[in-house]
Amino acid sequence: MSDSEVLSQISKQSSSRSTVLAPQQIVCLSAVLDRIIPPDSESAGGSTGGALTYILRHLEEGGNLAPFRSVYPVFLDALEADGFAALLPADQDKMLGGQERSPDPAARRFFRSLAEHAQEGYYTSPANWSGVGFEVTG
Amino acid sequence: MTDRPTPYEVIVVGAGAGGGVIAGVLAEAGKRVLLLERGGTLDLATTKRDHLRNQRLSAYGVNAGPSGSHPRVFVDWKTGEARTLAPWEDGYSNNAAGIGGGTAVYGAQAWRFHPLDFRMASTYGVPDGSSLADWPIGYGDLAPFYQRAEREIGVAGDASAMIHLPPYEAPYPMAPFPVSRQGETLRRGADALGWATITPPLAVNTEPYGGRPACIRCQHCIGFACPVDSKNGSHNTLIPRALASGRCDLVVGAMAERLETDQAGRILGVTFFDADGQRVSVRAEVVVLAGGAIETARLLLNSRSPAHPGGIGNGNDQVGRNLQGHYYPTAVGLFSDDLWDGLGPGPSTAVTRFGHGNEGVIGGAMLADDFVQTPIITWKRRRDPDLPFWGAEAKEWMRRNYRRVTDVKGPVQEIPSPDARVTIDPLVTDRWGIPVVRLSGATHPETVRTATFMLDRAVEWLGAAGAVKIWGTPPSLALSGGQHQAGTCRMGEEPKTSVTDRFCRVHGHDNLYVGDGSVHVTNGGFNPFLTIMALAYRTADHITNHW
Repeated sequence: MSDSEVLSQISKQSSSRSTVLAPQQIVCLSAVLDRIIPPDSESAGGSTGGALTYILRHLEEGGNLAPFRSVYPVFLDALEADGFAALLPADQDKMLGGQERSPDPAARRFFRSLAEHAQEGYYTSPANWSGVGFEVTG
Repeated sequence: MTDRPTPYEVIVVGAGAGGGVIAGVLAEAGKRVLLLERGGTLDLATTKRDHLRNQRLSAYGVNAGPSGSHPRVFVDWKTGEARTLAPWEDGYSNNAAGIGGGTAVYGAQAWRFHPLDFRMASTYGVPDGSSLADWPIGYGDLAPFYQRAEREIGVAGDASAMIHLPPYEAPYPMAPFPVSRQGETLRRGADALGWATITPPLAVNTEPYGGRPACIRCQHCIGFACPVDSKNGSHNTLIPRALASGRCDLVVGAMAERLETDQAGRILGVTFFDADGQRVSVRAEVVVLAGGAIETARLLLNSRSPAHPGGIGNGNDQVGRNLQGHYYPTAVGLFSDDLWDGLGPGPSTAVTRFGHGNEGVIGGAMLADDFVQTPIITWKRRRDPDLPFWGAEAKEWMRRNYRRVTDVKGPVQEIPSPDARVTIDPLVTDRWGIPVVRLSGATHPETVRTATFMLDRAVEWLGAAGAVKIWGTPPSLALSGGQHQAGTCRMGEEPKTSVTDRFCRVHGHDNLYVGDGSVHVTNGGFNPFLTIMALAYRTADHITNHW
């Protein structure tokens, strides 16, 4: 899918509406989330598996992640300045690995937080529960 | 201020495990009771199933209160740094606030304390810097009340398996839960080590009991309200009985401010803010405090007057000291096959041999497997520490291993420190203008030694059960409290070193009682709610007989 197709899809999804992130930033975030939780043959990745929806919803006023609302756009713009969303997955992983091991402690901390937010969104999404073996029967 | 006419003989502050029992017993005994509760109803509709905001994982909020209107100040014992915390933040020592208190959303492990849990000082001696003491009562004093709680609340268990205790006078009213697949694996490990095992007693119906159905074995037990009302607490037993008597008024949204006294120290009543924020004063012959070990201490300390400049019951600077909870050393084992069979509530196998008699350490703990853990809790607390925190490997680990990991953990009996304490913060107030608590200090270092010993036993057990990898965090010195909070108004014969007498009556105030975990001198090597309830039955009987 081209960037413009992704953008048009995002603008149609009510779950992707955000007052914090611009559509281009959401495209970049989707790409990041798919490296933090990569899609595979058995289950969705972060962008479609609940992590994106969770982060967008909770960056809004009163949400779990509202304290991070000013940091997300800055982080995503920096990645996008290097064309993150268009890179091959292996190169995206290299860039994210650079964030994980950044000499700047604030950058390292933020990447760790973002990754945790992704996992929170993914593993609290009921759609992913049976995939790990958490079946709700009552 | 509204001065209500006084139709009440007893005011109970706090509708949790202890307050609920006391209100029920006294109302049925003919007393006119006012039960004040700052929270409201805790059921599935109000507490929901948010995996990030619940009593087990409060990452961004809590589901059973209290609200953000109840801050506390926490002082880091290492740095001296003081921070104002919301109820879901680390260090706050949250417990549920609502009808039933913690019992509406707990795991309901219904253990009795061990006879030696009441005699810690004479069994082990008192380490330097500790305020360790014996209880003024013993197991024998509480045994009949344990039995009454087990019957009236409803506990499922096997009395004949409780080999660490004197023989029971009566069996549990319900048979225990069946052993889970995880439990069978742990039992094989325990057998190999020669350790006897027990199915943990749970206050959960294994058959219809008390007019409520049997457990449906769902996956959202601890931290959440029961979807079918088969988890038993004060909210669905003694509090409904109190209300059904026609002699108990339950007022929710009521925030207690202070106790009123006369010059001689007699308690006249309680001043509280009602749900509309109106200050109300109510009088009664007897007042019982049951707001939990932190809020009960706060209410006493905030009840300053010229005659009681340090607060009520605090003439010897004892109120709020010896705050304790439980250290919970936890070992996680990864197995090569699925261990979890998908059924709740979860704890299926316990070992009690390490409660006492452990060479080189004071006391010990019961060890058991844990309740069903949500996927996000498994991610946050049970994942392999060597795993990357992002990427395909992390995802694959969760998919492969969610059902293959299990915890063994236990509530370590803490060695109390007089410096682990609740005081009143000089600056911060809540939305009613009431000064909030300041939590400071840490447990005694002996607690850390015992917890380290218990972590080693948990690791040993998982290894014998066949775990292919085992990990756990070594305990370190910290302040405890939390859902098992206790100790701040401890019982004793001597007013210089205790706050209440052997009947949980505040020294020097004949008509003031404490009905929660505050009175625990030590907190046992077990989950404490059944002991809180047993003491509450005993205290209620004492009030009935004396007032």
